[in-house]
Amino acid sequence: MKDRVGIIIAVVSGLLFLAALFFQPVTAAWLNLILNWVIVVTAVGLMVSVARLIATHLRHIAVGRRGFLFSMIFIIAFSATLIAGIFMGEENPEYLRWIRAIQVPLETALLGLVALVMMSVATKVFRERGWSFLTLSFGFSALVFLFLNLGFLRLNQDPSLGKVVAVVQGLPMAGARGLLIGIALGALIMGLRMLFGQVVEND
Amino acid sequence: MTDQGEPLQICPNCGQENALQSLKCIRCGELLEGLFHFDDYDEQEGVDASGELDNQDTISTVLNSLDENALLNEQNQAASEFPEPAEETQPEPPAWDREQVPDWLERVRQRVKEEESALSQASGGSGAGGRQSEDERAQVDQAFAGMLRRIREQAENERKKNRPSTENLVDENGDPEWLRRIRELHPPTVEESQNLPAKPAVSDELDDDWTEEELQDLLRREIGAQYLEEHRQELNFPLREQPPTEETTLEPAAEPGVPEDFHNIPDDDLEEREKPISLPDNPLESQQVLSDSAGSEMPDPELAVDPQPYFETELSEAPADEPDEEPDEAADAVAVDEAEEEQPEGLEMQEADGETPAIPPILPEGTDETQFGGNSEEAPEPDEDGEKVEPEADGELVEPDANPEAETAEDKNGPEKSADLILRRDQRQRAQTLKNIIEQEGRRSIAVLHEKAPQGKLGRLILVLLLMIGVVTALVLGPAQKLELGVSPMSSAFEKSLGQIKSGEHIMVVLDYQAATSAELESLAKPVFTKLLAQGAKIRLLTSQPADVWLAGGLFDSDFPEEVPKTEFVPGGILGYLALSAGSTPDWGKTPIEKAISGGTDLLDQSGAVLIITDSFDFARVWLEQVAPWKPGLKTLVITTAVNAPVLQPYFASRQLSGYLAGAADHSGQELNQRAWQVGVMIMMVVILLGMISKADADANQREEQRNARE
Repeated sequence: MKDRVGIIIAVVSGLLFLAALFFQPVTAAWLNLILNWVIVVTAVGLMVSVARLIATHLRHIAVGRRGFLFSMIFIIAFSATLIAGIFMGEENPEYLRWIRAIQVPLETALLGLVALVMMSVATKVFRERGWSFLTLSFGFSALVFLFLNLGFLRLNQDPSLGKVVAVVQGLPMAGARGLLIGIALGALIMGLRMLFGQVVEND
Repeated sequence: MTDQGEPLQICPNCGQENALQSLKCIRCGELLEGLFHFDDYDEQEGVDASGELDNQDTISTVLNSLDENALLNEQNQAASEFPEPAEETQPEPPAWDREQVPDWLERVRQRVKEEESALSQASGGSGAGGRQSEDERAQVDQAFAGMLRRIREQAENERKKNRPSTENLVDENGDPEWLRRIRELHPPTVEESQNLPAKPAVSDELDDDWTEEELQDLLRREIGAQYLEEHRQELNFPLREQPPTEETTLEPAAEPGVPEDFHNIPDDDLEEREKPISLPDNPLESQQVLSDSAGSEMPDPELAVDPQPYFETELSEAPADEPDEEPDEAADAVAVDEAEEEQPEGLEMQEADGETPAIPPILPEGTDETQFGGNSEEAPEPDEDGEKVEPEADGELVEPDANPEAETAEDKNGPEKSADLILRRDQRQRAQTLKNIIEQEGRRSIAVLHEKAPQGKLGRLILVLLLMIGVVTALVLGPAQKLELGVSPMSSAFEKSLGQIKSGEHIMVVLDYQAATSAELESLAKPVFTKLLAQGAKIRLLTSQPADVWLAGGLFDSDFPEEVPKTEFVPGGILGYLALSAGSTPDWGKTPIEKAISGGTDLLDQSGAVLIITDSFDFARVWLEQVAPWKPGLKTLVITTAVNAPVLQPYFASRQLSGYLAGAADHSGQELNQRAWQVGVMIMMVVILLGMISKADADANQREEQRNARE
């Protein structure tokens, strides 16, 4: 019965949202109201998630679970950020600069590691996957576009060459269109399944 | 010559009953051709030169029996009353036969003639008398056969008494006869024959017609049933510890004098397995058990127990377990107990020296340890009288981890080796098997589909160093050069749209990126904001990501800190933007989001263009598909990373997107180090080429190896 209640709520919400979207501008106020409900519920859910995250790390510290030092670092960083934001204010330039000075190097370093991993994968892709159409097309296309981005070609000085390069650079758009169409179809099917209650029932 | 239904002949050497057609004795291999002679002739000539049977006594016994027989006396009397007529009925033998017939045959024929003539005279030629004479003759034959049977039985008994002990039948290699028979029944395998010293080949003269029952009888007769009962548990020991393997099943065959399958009664095995391991009552023996267990490498304490304590324990329990044993076997057990009780002194001496006392094998009478020769794995067994040979306490235990080669060398020194060594070896083999099983735990037993070849980290390190050194060198060496790349249509459209913004016009900037991509996006956004500020446009920053609240400060040039606007947080992510774009203020008042954002739902209506700074293709897609359609006249511009450039092309082609900057190479006004950019791109190209070259090299090596393998 509980599952049916959830399905009924999801289906009714979806139908109301579609109706609010279709019957504009008559239902614009109702659409705004529904979206606000959704946002408030989402924000409450986010708060619950944050509270659960903190509780989980505190429990890890309490029981001395393996890796509890990382939990301690997380709790300390979270507490410091929260306390500093409360007392200094979220618009304080110094506070924002401190946070940025910590977060930017960390995430940049992680992105650098991703770049190295990708480079390593580029060397292994042929050894692991062998000579196939996929690997060969990847290799040659990557070489071509990397070479075009080197800046050695003076496209402004040679219009004909610029047209050729424009055609080559337009090739990825075909793949992007296919990707976007696939995403749209997937979203449509997912929405229909939710409206018919199949997703909730299967979950 | 047969008294039963099946004709048999008795070997003159060992007394074994053989088939009538056998040429050799199935037991000792003695030629039996002599038994095919006529009985009377054999008795006259003697059985063999050894003179086991007293011919004179036998013949005299036969004659006396004939004389004492009443029927024969009557026939003799009848023969005397009816004298034999002249030789009329018997034809003359041919001349050639007369010449070749020996004298003894001639005498036999003569005697037969005489008997037949006498019988014919006694019968008188009448039919009733002839039938009576046939009956009488049958009775005479039966009586004669009975006498012969008794004579043979008597002779057989005398042979058995006078037969020399089988243990004394030692061949040139020193192996007793019973040992050779056991070896014949359990021929060593190829592996065993390679491991063990050379043994004397079993003589082909020995028959292989031994049955299990005969072997059981032989074994019980030779070593005594009591010994078998005592060593039953010991012999079943491998079966309880591990499944029978080739080694373990072969090992008992080499055990001292006891075949591995000397009994096949499952109930006995079950009883022995269910019987708990009990320490002997003797404290010295208990100490011996503990010392053996401690000295062994066996991880399993049950395996570590020396089988000898089993032997001792079972000795004390054997009489109680099997009360139906024959008296002589019980006497054997008593004798063994007595022999065991005499050992504590020797044990004390050995334990005082810190050595584990070894129980030497019990050898049959007349057999010393040298007769076990080579492998010295024969059975300690009592003699026929149930007396135990006094064990020698000089046997040395071989440690389980002893060198096999040294042990092999010690095997050659058979006389100095005790039977306990064999038990140690068996224990060590089982321990090694168990050790191998334990080592196999956790290992993959089946092949994986894609086995990854172990690769060193050196190649990866070289690639990283190559990239870092190249970029750093490009940055350090010389002044930065302006990047001169071709302007893409998207960036041209972006520049054009940006130039159309008038002074005082509001530009809503939506931020949705992470700190990791802030460097790339900020390098693109700074010139744009500088230009916008120069044009007099009013910038309004919105974000739905908490991180962008403090990242937004990096978008503006530090030269104009006073121009940095306040970043407004839109709760709800893309739904918040959707509510601001598609919704309207209800009649009952503002919604929470409208209260949080100044302007509320009129926010987008007040803006002349929307500039989205994001590193997420999905956010740009959702904005263009869900939010932008509600404000058709609003221009949408995007600043994003180079990764998202191909995906945004369709939106630009459909005019949903007025223009975008994707990556550093997409903006002509950026200030980047062209050398560092080019070095980074070239290193990426080199890496891909290296992957291709390494693959080609690996394929070439593989082909060469295959070619070499074929050759």
